[in-house]
Amino acid sequence: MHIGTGCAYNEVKGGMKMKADMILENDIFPFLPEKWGQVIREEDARREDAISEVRLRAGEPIRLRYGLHEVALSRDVMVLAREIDRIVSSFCQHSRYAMESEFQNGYITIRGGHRVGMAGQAVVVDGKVKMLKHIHSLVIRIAREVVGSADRVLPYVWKHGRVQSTLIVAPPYSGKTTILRDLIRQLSDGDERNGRCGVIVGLADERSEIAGAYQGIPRLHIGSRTDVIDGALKSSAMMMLIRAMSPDVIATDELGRREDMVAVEEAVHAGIAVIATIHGRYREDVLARMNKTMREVFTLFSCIIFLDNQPTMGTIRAVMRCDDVSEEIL
Amino acid sequence: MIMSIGVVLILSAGIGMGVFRARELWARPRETRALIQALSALETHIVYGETPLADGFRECVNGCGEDTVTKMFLYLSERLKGDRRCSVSNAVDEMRRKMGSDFSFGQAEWNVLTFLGEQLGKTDCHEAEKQLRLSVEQLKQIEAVAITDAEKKGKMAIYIGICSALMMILVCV
Repeated sequence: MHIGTGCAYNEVKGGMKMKADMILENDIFPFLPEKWGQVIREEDARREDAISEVRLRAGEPIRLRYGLHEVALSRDVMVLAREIDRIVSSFCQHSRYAMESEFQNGYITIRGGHRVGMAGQAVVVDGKVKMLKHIHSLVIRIAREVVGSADRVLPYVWKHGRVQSTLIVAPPYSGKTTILRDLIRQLSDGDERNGRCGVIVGLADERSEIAGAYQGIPRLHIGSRTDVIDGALKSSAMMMLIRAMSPDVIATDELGRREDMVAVEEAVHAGIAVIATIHGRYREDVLARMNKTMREVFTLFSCIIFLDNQPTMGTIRAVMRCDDVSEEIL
Repeated sequence: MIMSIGVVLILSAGIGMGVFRARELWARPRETRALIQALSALETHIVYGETPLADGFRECVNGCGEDTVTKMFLYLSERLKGDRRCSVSNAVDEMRRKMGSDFSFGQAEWNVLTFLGEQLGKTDCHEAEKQLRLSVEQLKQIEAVAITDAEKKGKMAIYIGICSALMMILVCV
């Protein structure tokens, strides 16, 4: 078993902080009441790291998340339910009907690839959630690119002149989507100076978080050879990519369902490398959630990278090569 | 000779004023009809195209012959695109304040538009379709009343114009 040394990708500071501020100014503040934008700006100016989440709950102060820490802003600026309703309408371009499927999932993706999660009263028709109304809580997760965040992971993924099927196992807030995005970009673009050619990447982006696609167009840098299927179930999207786009690599976020595993198996059997992420902190976490079929699929990955959010987001805790893991699992 | 010319002029002015007033009375059903057509087109864009509302407002008046209604929807479209904090109901209210005097609409039409402003875009496709159809039905009723009104009052306006002109001629002679 090969264990990688603990390390962290660069935190968003200096230039990255400025970029994060610009994202807020351009993509988020225009939708919020001016006063809210102002208090968030004031709080943000006092901090070195970048906001990762803005949480709005009716009757509560605005809460900001910086990495693993949460900050509540002054109670002078309370969040009002009617403002939340207006903000949701604005995020949807006053067209909730055009985002019915997103509402059914409880989140929408806005311009810039930021994900807005919602909680409220569900309208249920025939046992299925059709729409959310009386929305009283919002969480705006800021999508940010950290160019170079996958530098430490890349040597494990690109080995012997080809891409190894890789599973990234990580708990929430550990930067797995950010690292996956940068990994896709680097693999897709290639690095001719270091003799690494670009590969065709098919991206199954079910929640529009990786490419940040808005109206079908990727807004974040995912490389020049990347084809994205946005908004479809990842299992369906992977199958479509295999059949239609002939990729060298298929990438997707947060595997979980049995169908996802079947699609992964299909891809690997078609000679396509798969790079995916899955929630979990320890290998046992992941295995506990998997049935036998899923465990078998687990062995299809050549490399498994365990990330952590301690001491900082994106810390690589361990890297395992496939054969050893296979033996241990089975 | 001069007297004959004067009589003709007065008579023409009277008839002209009557016709002008009648045309004004016909503007209301004409604009209401254009509004109905625009809302029906908007329904298509929403239900079948899932077009965002701002784009739907712009596209639903393509080929609409009524300038005022076209301007109204274009204003709403621009307003929603230009200011992300602006809600549909705010945009409708502002439009009414700024452009209300250009329309021949009565209170009933404005009530329909206000209702739509408060509801449109906040629901799913099915609800939006129902809201638009309900509004169109209401507008059709309003249009029918406006047509009857225009027919009745339009004719009366022309008669009054002619009678006023004749009376003035009699007074002058």
